[in-house]
Amino acid sequence: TEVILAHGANPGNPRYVAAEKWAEIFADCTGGAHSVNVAPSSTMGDDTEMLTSASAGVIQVTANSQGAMSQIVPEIGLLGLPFLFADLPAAWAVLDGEVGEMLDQRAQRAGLKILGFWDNGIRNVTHTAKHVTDPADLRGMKIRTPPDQMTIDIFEALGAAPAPLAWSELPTALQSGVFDGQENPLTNIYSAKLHEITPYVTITGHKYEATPVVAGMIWWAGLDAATQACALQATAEAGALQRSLSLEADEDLRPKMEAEGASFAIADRDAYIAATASVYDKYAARFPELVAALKQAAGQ
Amino acid sequence: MSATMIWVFLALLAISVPVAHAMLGGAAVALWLDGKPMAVIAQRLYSPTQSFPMLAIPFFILAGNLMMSGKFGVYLVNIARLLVGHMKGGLGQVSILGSVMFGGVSGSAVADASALGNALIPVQKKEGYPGGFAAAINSASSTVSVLIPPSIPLILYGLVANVSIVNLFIAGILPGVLLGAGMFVAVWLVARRRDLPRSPLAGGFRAFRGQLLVAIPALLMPVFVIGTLRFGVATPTEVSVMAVAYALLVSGLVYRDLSWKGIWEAAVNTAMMTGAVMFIIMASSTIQWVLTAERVPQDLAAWVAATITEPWLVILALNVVMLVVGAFLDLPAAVLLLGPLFVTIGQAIGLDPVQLGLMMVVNLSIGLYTPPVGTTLFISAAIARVGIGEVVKSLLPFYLVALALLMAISFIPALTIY
Amino acid sequence: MSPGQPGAPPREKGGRQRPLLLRGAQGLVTILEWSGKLIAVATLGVMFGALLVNVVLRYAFGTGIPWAYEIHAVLLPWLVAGGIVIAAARSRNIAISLLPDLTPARYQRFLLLAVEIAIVTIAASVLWSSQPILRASSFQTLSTLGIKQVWGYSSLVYAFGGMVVIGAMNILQLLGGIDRPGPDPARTSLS
Ligand code: NA
Ligand code: NA
Repeated sequence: TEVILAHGANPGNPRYVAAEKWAEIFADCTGGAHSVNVAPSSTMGDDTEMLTSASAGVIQVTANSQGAMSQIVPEIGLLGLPFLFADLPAAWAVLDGEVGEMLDQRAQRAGLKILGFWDNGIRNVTHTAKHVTDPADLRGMKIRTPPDQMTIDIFEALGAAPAPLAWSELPTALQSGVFDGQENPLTNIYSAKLHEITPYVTITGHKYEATPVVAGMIWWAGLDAATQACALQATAEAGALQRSLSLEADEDLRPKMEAEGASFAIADRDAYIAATASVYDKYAARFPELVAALKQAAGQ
Repeated sequence: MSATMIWVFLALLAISVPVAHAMLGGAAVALWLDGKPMAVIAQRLYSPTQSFPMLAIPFFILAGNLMMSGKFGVYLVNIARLLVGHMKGGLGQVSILGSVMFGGVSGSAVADASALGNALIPVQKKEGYPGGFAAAINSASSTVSVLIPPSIPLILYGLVANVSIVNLFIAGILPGVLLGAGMFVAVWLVARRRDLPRSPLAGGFRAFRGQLLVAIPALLMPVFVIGTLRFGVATPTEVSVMAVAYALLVSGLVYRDLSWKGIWEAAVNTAMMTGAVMFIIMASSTIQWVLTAERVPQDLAAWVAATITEPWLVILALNVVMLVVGAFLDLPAAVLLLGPLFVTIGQAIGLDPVQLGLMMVVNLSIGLYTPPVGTTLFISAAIARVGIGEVVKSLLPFYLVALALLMAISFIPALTIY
Repeated sequence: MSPGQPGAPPREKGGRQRPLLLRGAQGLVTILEWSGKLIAVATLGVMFGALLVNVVLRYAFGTGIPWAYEIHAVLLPWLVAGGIVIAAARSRNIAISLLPDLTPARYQRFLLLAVEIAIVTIAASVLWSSQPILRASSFQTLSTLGIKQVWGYSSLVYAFGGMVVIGAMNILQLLGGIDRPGPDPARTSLS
């Protein structure tokens, strides 16, 4: 039977490559009993819509986003707590462990099975006029964020003036000077050419985001154990590839962007961690056990 | 699955089932026969309503409705009359200049055709214009509105093709003005041959001054729309919201003809137009899903690229297909039906998507005044009380002008890409 | 875009007293049309207000309302649904009217009947097949507004349910001998 694997990435993106790999591994592993139709570039809808489609059985699998997924399982949003992970491998260790399992159990109650976590990179700040190596540099900065409460909380704690805006409207809004800057993973910044408008890139690494790979529960429950194992194996193997590509891309992008006129600086991580401690208090009030578990798992 | 869908769609369309229902019917039958989950229909129907940029459509429609429900229309005709009324066939020229000015306020050709047609065609007939010619001028010139920003068809194309609406709007200005200028020459030539009268505005410049002062705020709307977009001060959705606020201010403070009843009627009418247009967008997104699931656009684009080796032949073929589809189908529906497919084909031959968008809108707007189904043609013929055939005979010079512009836009990128 | 004309009232042949059932059918369509108007004007007004305030805040004070960018996710579907119901009540959906124009007057009613039956069947099948999607959407919450997505998705139930009811009433009227007004390009096109 045909399995639709849908995602929002365009050719060249690590997620795109990994989805093709997933299709290959899964088809091989099931001995041709299943063929995979990969639908890239949001042709099956945006992240939120792909999740609806998966749980309604319209598509079978989606490589999705942390933001959309946290609309269904709010706990997933906690992975974006400021400066939670020292680096990417630290994040992976947590996601592949007990925390990942717990999130999967929550998701299953909403009709979705989490097959595994790929990467979406760490977010950094870009500014039109200056670097923001110290939290004080952010004071009063008009910064665009996605409509995501965690991100807004982080920048309010830092004394900036965050305002959410649709991604599609961002380049125009930055050009008009309505915002002083924005924050995104380097791959997004590069693909939308945002470094041409906001050339001052500060490696803040303030927020990690995963790419949950999710299957519809109806489809998943109807599979035999061997096929389920194939889906998990495909997700893990393609995920290893995606994570290494993602790391590489981040490293390749810096010189590329510098050659195109961007200027990089590294943020004072300890100062930032101190300045965003209040965000932990806010979320610990709502999810006391999970926040504690996350901090411990991440080695804080 | 795709072939079944297309046949059912065409069959339903032929017996005059509304376009959106026909699309849904085609998709539903195809999914059902193929054993695919039909829930995809509801999911795809809902998807376009989640797009933030889509909000520009109701707000631009509302701004145009608010402007035209007041005294602005009367002033606009008088100003056009003062500027060009003294020429031979002056009222014909007024119709064209009026469309250019009206185009800056409204995003729809039908609004233009009924507003200016009702104001001008009866007077033109009284002054001795043949009814068919009066209707021809109105049905052709009103399409200038969808080229000069704001433009609903260009917004739709921008959304399906994922192209900047700002760039499309800016690229539409020159073709819009050229189309107006070409039709201006056509009317002038016909007026000389038929010896049509001059009709200067009574009262001359003295009357003009007063009218101009009052009409300036409304005439500034296109300047405001293009200016804010061009210099990146605001996004299309924000501009559409500000245009509504501006229209409310102008009719409230300058014309003083704003009433709760007027606002209510403009809002209801906007909702109905938004509903009808969005319904087609939503239904076509269902069709696109079926096509994409079978990779039809990619395969077709690859086939076209492999079969027709000369890009200019592809462009010509696209134009012929659009002229045929446009003859039968309404402009927004045709943009939505063909847009995604044509963008894929355009990419395969390296055609700039902005140029393709203008090509599509210029081409499909010709369909508004070609038989068998032409909206501005039907409206204008009804106002002039003449048969369709009589109007079509008088439309010949306008077809030539529009086709010439279409060819120019198709093959001279400099006209649309700066 | 001429200002809203109310749908022409259905004509009746021979001037007989209209049966109660048919008057009830027209009444139901009118009620639905009014519900569409109220929903549409309210949603349009709220979105206009929110976006205007947000633009002013952003340009004048550099702040904004976080939910101004999310409110359309729930309200635009309802604006569209309201508009679809108004358009259906006034028979103003975009169609190719070539065949009805060519059909002799006495056969036109059969064609109109066939079209209405097709519309009702299609709308009903969409309504019926949307259930899994509605269930799935009841798990999703909009991030800044905290509203469940199902509040937006249920606009589909309203729009397609409205179309089924209006279509059924039109069929009743056609069977009862009342002619619906024919298509008029100035009213049915949106070019
Ligand atoms: Na226009
Ligand atoms: Na036509």
